[in-house]
Amino acid sequence: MALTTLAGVISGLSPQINVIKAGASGSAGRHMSPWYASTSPPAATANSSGVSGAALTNPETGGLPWVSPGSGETVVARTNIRANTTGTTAQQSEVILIDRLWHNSGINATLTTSQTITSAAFPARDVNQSTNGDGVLLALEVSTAATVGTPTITVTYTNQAGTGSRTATNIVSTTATSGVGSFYILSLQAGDTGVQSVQSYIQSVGWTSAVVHLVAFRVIAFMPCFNMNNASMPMLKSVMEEDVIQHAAPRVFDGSVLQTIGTAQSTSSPQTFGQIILASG
Amino acid sequence: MAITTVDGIIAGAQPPRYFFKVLTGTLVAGRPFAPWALAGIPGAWPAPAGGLNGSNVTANNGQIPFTNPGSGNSYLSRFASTVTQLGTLLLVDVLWENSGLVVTSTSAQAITQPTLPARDANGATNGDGVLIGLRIVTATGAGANVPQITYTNQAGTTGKTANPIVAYAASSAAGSFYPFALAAGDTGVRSVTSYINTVSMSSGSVSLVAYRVLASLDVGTIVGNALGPIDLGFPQLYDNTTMALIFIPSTTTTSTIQGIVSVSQG
Repeated sequence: MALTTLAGVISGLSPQINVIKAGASGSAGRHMSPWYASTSPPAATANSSGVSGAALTNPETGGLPWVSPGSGETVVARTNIRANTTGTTAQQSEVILIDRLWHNSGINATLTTSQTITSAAFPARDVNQSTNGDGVLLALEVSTAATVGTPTITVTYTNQAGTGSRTATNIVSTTATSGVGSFYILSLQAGDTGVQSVQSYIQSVGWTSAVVHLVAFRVIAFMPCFNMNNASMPMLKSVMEEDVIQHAAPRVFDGSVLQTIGTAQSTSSPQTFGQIILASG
Repeated sequence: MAITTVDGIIAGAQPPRYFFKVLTGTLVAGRPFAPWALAGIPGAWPAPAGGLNGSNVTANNGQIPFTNPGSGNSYLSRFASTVTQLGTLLLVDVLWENSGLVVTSTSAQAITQPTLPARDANGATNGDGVLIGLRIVTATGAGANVPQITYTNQAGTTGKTANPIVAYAASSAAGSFYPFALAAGDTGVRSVTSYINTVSMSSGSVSLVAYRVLASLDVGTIVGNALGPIDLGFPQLYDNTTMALIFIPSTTTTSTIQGIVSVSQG
């Protein structure tokens, strides 16, 4: 069965999912993942799935607490997400809801030679609910902070059409002191619309102390933050409340491991909090 | 068939397509910038081809992904973005692009443009709502040029002329994008028939682009924006729509641009 009406969305509304995530010190313009941050959902620990990684299906520690319905479809029905800091410094520019499909471990961040990866098959949750990888993107996530080095990350992958030897690099430059939760989204080669599998990883220079993971993900919803700066208030607010129509009813596929990411606007640590409401039917 | 109800928007919702690029290169306040040739998500737009007469664009390796519906129509249902500076972000459908314009010539360069794809504002080839821009593919050199096009308008009237709305600046950086005005009374361009420089641009390469604006989004520093289907006016996207972004910055600051485009089909 599919969700095809507003009445169906209304009748299928689920209780709100609370998102309360402590911030991590970021760097302006760089995405941050609260995967390893408390509070709701609980912090995940760095995975040890090995370089081939593991396909992810909910429930997964670190993912938003929701249960796939037994049948039918699920959509994002409402979001009310904030990214705050105290004082007068800037906050996150947006909150992005993603489905975390796969991640790995065991990458040696001190090496500058190619590291072979034979990625485990991604779940059938690309934009067409297949394993082809259309709409699936890659990022490099930091679980232990780096101290020295600003490598360029290059990943060799197979694209959504099954064509191999495609290359992707970090879109935003890495920083030497990339903190926990740093999330470097990788590019797509011209003509590609997604990643089906990963074959290798290489850094241009070593990255001292860093423990890193490749993450395959799909963007489900994008929620810009508005800056309501009131100098008399100790807390800056970013508010964006949108319903199912404004979101254009994005689907959340069964098994999705939901989390948020966002772009830091300074070195401050924005706390993400708000509610996400899904509807199934 | 068409989507005419809110239920139709929900039923026909397609997964969003994410875009993310760093706008490297020289930005100039108020001058549109087309990040098409920059790496990121989507990948880089290839160098234009097709010679002076150009080629219709029905797909491009650097476009925001779009798939024709199996049946029915497509509509823009969400456009959301953050950019790390104030400005206006345009989502456009690129219909045609040429190559081979001689930047040092001050003679009229004749163009015999193929019939536009049926993607004007009415899904026709007349050109209603179709605009022309000058894309700086590789940086130009000295020369305070005033580019001019001669075109046929949406009604088929020939001999219309236009210059860029924002004055062309010598030594324009790659990615700079100069929209041409429309002659009084015109609502679009059916075909470009010639191009001429007033003075040499000295070096570089440029192309003419025919495009239609699908949506416009005002964004600000640490302030994103989002438009849903009703806010957008639910514009129809015709088959083979080739979506790209044009950003109008307010400062020279190197910026990142990211967001999503969503489509409903039915």
